[in-house]
Amino acid sequence: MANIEGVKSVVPFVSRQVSFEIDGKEAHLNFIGDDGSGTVKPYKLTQGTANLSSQEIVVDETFAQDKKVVIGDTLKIDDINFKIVGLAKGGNMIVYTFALMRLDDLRAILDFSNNNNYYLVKSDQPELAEKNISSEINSVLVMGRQEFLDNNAAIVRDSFLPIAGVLLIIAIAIGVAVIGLTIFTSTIEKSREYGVLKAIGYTSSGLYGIALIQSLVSGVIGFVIGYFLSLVVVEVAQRAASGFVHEVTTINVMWVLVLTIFMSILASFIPLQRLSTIDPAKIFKA
Amino acid sequence: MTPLLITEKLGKTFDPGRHAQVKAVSDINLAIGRGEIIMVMGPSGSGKTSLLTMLGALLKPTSGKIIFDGQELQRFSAGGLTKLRRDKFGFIFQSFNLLENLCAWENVFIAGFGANNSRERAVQLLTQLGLGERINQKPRQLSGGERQRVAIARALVNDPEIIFADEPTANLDRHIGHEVMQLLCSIGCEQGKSIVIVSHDERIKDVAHRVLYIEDGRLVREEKGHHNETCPMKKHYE
Repeated sequence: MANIEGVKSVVPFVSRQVSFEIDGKEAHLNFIGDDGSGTVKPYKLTQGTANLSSQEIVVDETFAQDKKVVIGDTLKIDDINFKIVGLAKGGNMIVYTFALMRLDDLRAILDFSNNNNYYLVKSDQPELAEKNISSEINSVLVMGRQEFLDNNAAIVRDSFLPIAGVLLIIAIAIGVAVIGLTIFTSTIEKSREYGVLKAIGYTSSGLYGIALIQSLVSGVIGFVIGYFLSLVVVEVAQRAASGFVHEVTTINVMWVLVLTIFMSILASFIPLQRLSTIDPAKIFKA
Repeated sequence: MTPLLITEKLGKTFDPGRHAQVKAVSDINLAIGRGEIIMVMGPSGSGKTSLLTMLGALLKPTSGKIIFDGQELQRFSAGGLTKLRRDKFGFIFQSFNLLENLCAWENVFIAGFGANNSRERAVQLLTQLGLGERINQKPRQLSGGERQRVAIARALVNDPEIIFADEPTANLDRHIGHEVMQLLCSIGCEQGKSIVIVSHDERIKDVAHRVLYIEDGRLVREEKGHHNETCPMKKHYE
């Protein structure tokens, strides 16, 4: 592969998910074999060392926190005791967690002998290299850097986004119901005042405008409270649950604000019928 | 001079055609002149309030006609009646009906439409009615008389041609009730507004030009009032 036109260098490595037990409970780590060349290394080492000797491993700190293991502890994998010598961050992909061990250790566990299942190819002409490798070696799947990243992101996206989508729809429905019922209750409580306004010349659409403003104000207040509450919840969740991943961008916040406004407008329709049926003549009854 | 408001054989029956139908108002013929103060008196349940709400375009009659300024109200659309109430009518209610969360000037301001929807206009009216120092008070911080004066300012904010007042002194003591009636009387004379007051309080009838007595929904008697002797704007007539 190294001799194919467009390829600058090739580093073979092994990576596969390995299952084992910790205190009688099943655990999984996606191990990457380190050949000692320094090409394969943790994304960011936070404690200990990444210079591995035989039967030494580096695990992600999310895994360590979740399984309550620390540097110096041993994990029994395929009847071999591996000592944790380093902790890293950035290797938690939600659906699996990366860990590092020596290439020969991993080959032994997987019974891979001298086989590899990944090759890291460097190239100054990636498109040419990709095309040539694909045409000359049939047994490999060639993925560019972006495609590889997209594939990894898709695993997370396809696993969690449908659930998040359903939760979002439920949240919108609850939001509309809460704001709507609040405004509806307020409309019933203030029926007499709405009746006065109707008597002195307010149209039904004018009264609806008042309900809409109330709904928008309620929604925006809820949005501001919710925003600051989410910061607290994220902080608490990160302390309570290892591997809690969150990302709140300005665009996310803006989208939530737009959704809030949409919910408020939708909710303001709930008391519409009530407003239109308020009889202003009834306010003359003491 | 053409009367401002005329009724011809005005009637109102609630639940018509049913066994429990109630004839609240029957065959009332009225003519209210511009600047005239009319008092409608009668016992509870006599149909006073039904008559007032029909005159105020808040309740549809089941028979007869109401003609305001030459235009028959039955021919107005719902939107047209709303506009009429907004631009030409003012209302004063028995229990004030001020918005509790708004202060005095806001209660007047909220009723103003177009050029009348301004803080200056609200404050000007409240000041004229002796509430210049109380404009920022909420209704619960005001006395009954003060609340009714805020309600009067609200009724005047759009410079109406006619004011409908339903038992305006019912929740006030005698002294304050007298003051409120004197105030209404002055406004009627000074600004040339017609006022229709519904009440069963005999003590306040002197402010009216005419007193109409209603019983079982029918107009049974009419008396000349003593407005010209009692009005604080007496010199207006001299």
